[in-house]
Amino acid sequence: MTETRLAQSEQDERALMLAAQRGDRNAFKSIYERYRDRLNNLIFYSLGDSLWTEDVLQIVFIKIYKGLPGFRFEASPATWMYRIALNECLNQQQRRGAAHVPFEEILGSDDEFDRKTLPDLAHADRERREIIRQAVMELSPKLRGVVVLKYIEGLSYDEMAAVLECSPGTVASRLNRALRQLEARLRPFKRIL
Amino acid sequence: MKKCWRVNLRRDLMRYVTEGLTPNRVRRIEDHLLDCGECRDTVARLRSGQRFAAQLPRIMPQRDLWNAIEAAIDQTDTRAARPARPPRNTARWRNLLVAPRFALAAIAGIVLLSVVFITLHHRTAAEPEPAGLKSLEAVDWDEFHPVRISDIESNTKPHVVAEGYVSELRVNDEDGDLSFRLVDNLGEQERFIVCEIIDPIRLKPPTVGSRVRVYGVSRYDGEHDHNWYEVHPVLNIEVVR
Repeated sequence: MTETRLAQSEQDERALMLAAQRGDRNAFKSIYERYRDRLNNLIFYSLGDSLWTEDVLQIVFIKIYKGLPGFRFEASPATWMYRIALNECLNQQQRRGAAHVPFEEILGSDDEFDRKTLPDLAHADRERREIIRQAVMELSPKLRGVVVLKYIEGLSYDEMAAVLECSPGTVASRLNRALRQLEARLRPFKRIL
Repeated sequence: MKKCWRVNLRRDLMRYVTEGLTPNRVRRIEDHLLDCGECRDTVARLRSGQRFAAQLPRIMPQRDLWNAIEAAIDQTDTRAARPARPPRNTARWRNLLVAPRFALAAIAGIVLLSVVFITLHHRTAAEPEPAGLKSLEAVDWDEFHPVRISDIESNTKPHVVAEGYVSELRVNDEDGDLSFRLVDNLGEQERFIVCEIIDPIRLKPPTVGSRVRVYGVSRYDGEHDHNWYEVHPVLNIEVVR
């Protein structure tokens, strides 16, 4: 049943891509609606700035539109779009020079962290997410990419390898390093996370 | 802790944690974990890291960008359909030269920029300092003519200062320059001044929503899909609040 639904969804997506390639604006809008949130996550975690993300998301969809005639279904549409987004993030960072904010500067050191200052649960939850988000932002862009593709987008090793244009073994190795670094950075906050 | 030399098994620990292994491989690793403290420690760390990663928040777009994207692709389609259009800069300069007041503004701007660049070059040779606001210290900002956003059309002075709120900060896809709109009220769509921060005078971009005073050269962008007033280049930005 699930497989049938998945196959149907793939067929729908292929039909949408073909229609968009023929210039159907509504089909392209549907593609935008399907991928907007997913690409937004990937771009945000690559750049770490919401205003910049908005601009880049816009550029990425324009590039997708321009690239549609050349898309030959050799990769899945998702893989192709993720690749465009990651390449654009790389271009933007090279053009601007990536900002690097040390983790300690945002959170303070472990010694400074006062666990008694969490006033209520909602705030604590926001704080918790923010701590994790900042820890992920502190990873190198390559490691951040695999974390987002695996834990937000839910991609398999093979799919990640196709997006990142490397082997599944490399993906596993990057993921291994990313999780170890995350664990080491967040160990001091383990009690509240 | 005793060092584990089972490299082939250690390599698979990541996939063991993320459930990407065959049952046979899983059994081999679990047999190994019974005897190996180092690998048990690695698995515990990876699981802990995975627990953190799984809590990573999704970031939703703050607004729907479809209208902006559609406008941009309309523009792309129009450009592609239009045969042999003169290059953008040629059209701009031709328009500027046709209107005498803007030609005068441009000439005055070039003179001012020359002074700025000579000063900058002189200072750089004497004492290496980053370009930016410091290089414009020689400019007397009081000489700049105050203009209101709502009646920028009636301005005839080349050097202006305008005050307003910053909205729509963006990077120009063609040349990488930063631009933003200066508006009287946030959310205002009709009346605005486009302010462009160009590469040689790389100023720190203001925050969207902040109220600023922008100094620079006044000009009109007469490109067919623009037709708006600009402060280009921006020479100084003062944050009011």
